[in-house]
Amino acid sequence: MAGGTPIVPSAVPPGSRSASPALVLWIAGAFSPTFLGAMSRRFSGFRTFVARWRWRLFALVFCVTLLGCAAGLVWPIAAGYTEAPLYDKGRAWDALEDARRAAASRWAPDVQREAESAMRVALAAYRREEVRLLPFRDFRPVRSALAAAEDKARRAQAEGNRGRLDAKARADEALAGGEMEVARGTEVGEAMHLGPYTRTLLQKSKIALREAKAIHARGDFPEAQRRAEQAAAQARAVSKHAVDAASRYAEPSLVARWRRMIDETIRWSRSSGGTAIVVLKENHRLDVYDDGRVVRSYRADMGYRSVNDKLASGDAATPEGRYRITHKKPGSAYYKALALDYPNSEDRARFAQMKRRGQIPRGVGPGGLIEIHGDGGRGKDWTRGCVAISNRDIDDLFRRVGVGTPVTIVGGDGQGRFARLVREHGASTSGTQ
Amino acid sequence: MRKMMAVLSLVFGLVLVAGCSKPPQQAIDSANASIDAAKQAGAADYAPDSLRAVDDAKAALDAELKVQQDKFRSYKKSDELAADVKAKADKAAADAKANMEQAKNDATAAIGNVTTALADAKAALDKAPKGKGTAADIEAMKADLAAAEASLNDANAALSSGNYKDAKAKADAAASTIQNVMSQIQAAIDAKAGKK
Repeated sequence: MAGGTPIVPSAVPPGSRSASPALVLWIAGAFSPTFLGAMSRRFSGFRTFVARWRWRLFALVFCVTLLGCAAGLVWPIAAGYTEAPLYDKGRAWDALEDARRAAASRWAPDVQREAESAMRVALAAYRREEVRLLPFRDFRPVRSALAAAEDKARRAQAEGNRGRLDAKARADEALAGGEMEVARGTEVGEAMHLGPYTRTLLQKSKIALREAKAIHARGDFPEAQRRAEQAAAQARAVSKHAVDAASRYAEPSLVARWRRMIDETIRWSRSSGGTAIVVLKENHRLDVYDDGRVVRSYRADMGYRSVNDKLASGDAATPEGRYRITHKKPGSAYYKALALDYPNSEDRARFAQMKRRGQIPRGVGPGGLIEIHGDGGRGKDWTRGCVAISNRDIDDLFRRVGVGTPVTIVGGDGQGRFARLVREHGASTSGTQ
Repeated sequence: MRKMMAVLSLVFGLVLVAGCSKPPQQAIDSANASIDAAKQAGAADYAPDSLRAVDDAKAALDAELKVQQDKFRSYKKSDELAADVKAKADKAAADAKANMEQAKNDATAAIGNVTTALADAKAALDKAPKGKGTAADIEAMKADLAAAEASLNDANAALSSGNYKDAKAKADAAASTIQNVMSQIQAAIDAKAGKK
């Protein structure tokens, strides 16, 4: 302070709008020699100070700056922010590889896509930090990104595994269903001779099932499921065809008629004391009645399409009706034979009626040469309509019967294999295509 | 002053050169073309692991390009990565072609074998003992062979459409049916021979 002179140019307070002359005076005071002199003296004091302390001040500012920079640059390194997260990267990669090995892209495609995308983002961020100068690197967001990618990859793997197991379970179920349907189709196919179309269909279902198993083995579960379901549908169609064909064996009115025919034959045998033959097609049995009692029962083979009643020649069905032995053939091509009077008048009348209705093609006759002969007992239906029993049995039967012996051939008694087939498979195949 | 100007010009020139450095577009285009070729060669089906390696390499290249665009634009590493992508894509294409060729050969061989077996079975069936007792069996076997033939036709269709794995599966499945029929024919022939 110079002799206590105030450094303010004037005592007039600035900002007083009402005292504008005073303000003018105050501004003028700022340029007064007194004020300028005082300021000059003060500034020369500061210059003296700077001149005296300049190197010390410079050193101080330099050191502070250096320390600040050093702290700013070293701190991220010391704190580990600049250290590349190699371990995290490796773990994320491993997780992604695991998900890929689990075929997550197939079984959980959306989640896997997310994981792949997250990994790419993380790797891009990693590379971005990698190319920076060491002190400026900060891998913390990269660590978070890698952790997120790893998390998503693990989730993709888990969901992929779950999806694969679900698909496998569905395929397994379809395969089991296909196996069951094909086994059922095969069973009905063995119970009766299937027509060419149905037989081909059954074989196609077996081929489709084998194909489904091969596809399943290579891990393509949805396709295996599709093929197995196709096999099951084909086999179901076979069963339905077969059951439809055999359904008449469970038809109450027809079964009652057959039973009535059997009873009448037995009654005739009892009342006349004579010998009669009853053939039950679906039971594969030939019973010999004498005096109303069964005296012999032989295992018999039928025409290979005996699920049907005989209608015309070449249909390979054993006829159903009341017949008689017309003559005995001791020297038959099938060892020995007993010729029957098929077609009888009833068969002819029915044939004529069906022909009139156009149910039988032109040029086809009712057939004939139906016999009970030897070379049978094969355990399957193989004749073209005859009843075949073993040679030993035909020898025995030859002794017991003669020309004129009544032979009643019926579908069955409602307890045979066709009736059973309809009972067992009818419910499961009804309603299917 | 003149020296200072020279140094400044040099620095400016270097910055300009670095700033104007361009991505290795030719190498990238070449890599992309190789990736397309690998995909067209069926790498997704026949060389999925190789194609995955291509995807990873491509991701690394994309990341590098992105980094360099934002930075000093040094594309040396990008060039190397593009070359790596191309090499891997070429390998994927080669693997796919090799694997597809193998699958095609396998399917063709299987179909060839089944075709021969089917012809043999038909011939054997024609020569099989015929008569009243065998009519049903022959009819059944013919039906079985018809199913096998249908499967063989499907296999040929699959082969024509390039679906080699399915073609082989269908042919193999049909082979079993034909083998079964052949066994039955042989059993019938043996039975007849035994009877004689």
